[in-house]
Amino acid sequence: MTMRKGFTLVELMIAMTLSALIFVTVSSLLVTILTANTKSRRQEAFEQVKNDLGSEFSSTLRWAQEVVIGEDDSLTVDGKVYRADGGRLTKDGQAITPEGVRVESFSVNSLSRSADLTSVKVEVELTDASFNLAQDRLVVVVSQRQTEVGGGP
Amino acid sequence: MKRGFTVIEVLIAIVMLSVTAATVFPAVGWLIIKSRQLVYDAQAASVLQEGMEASYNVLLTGWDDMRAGRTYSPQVEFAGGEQRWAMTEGEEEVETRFTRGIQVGEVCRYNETGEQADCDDDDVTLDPESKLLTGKVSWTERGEDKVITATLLVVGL
Repeated sequence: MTMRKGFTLVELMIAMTLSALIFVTVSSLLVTILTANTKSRRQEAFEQVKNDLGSEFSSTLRWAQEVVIGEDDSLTVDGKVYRADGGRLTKDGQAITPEGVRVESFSVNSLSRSADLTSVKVEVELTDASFNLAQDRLVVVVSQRQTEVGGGP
Repeated sequence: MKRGFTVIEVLIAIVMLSVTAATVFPAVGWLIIKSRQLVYDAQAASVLQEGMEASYNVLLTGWDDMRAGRTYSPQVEFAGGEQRWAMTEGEEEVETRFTRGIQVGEVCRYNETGEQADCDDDDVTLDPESKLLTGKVSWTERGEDKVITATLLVVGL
């Protein structure tokens, strides 16, 4: 009886093909999972900012006494100035958006039919600070509420 | 040495792998569908809010721009170099996916308490200073009809 020492060529080739296949599958899966993870974290950051800004503008503009839309894309609500500055949105000079999210543009349009009450459309374009390809935008429309008797139709 | 043993091992491995794959892949698909649904829900809410806010602004400018019992959709019109809200009658398509309509209704109040009432009830009076806005945004998602609504009482004194 002859003892078989080592593998045959065919066995070796099968083993190599199999391990190569497994390696490719596992590594591509790993890449997919890692990308998805970054993506979802980025998305979460965007959602957070959109939520924060949405409720900020809704609550302040709705019950504001005085709203002024500046020529330089600034918005003044009851003396507090909102403007985009260095990739962040600022309120009276204080940044109200986090570092990881870049504010590309901030624009405010007045769409009101009334002379006394404002109705503004606030548009904010966001990009990822570290990876510029990802972007998102927030559009929020708020109409100022009538709080004084005699201002209605 | 039993040489056939490795074959069984391989078979077991393949079965285990396919079971795992069969459970993981539908779950991933479901997650993708769910996240898309959330995106549409958020968009619809924003479209509805825009409609309600615009309608509030137009209504407070004058009751005549939106008549009770009719459905309107807000649009941006250009007038004298400025942009402003304008109402067109009927529902409209927004962002290709959504259909939006804002309905205006009369408000009746109980004579005694002043609370909001059904206009068919007894002892009620039509309140000329109030209107009720009912906004509706609908869309279809994977063959399923979805709708969200919101109401806003507009009091103009």
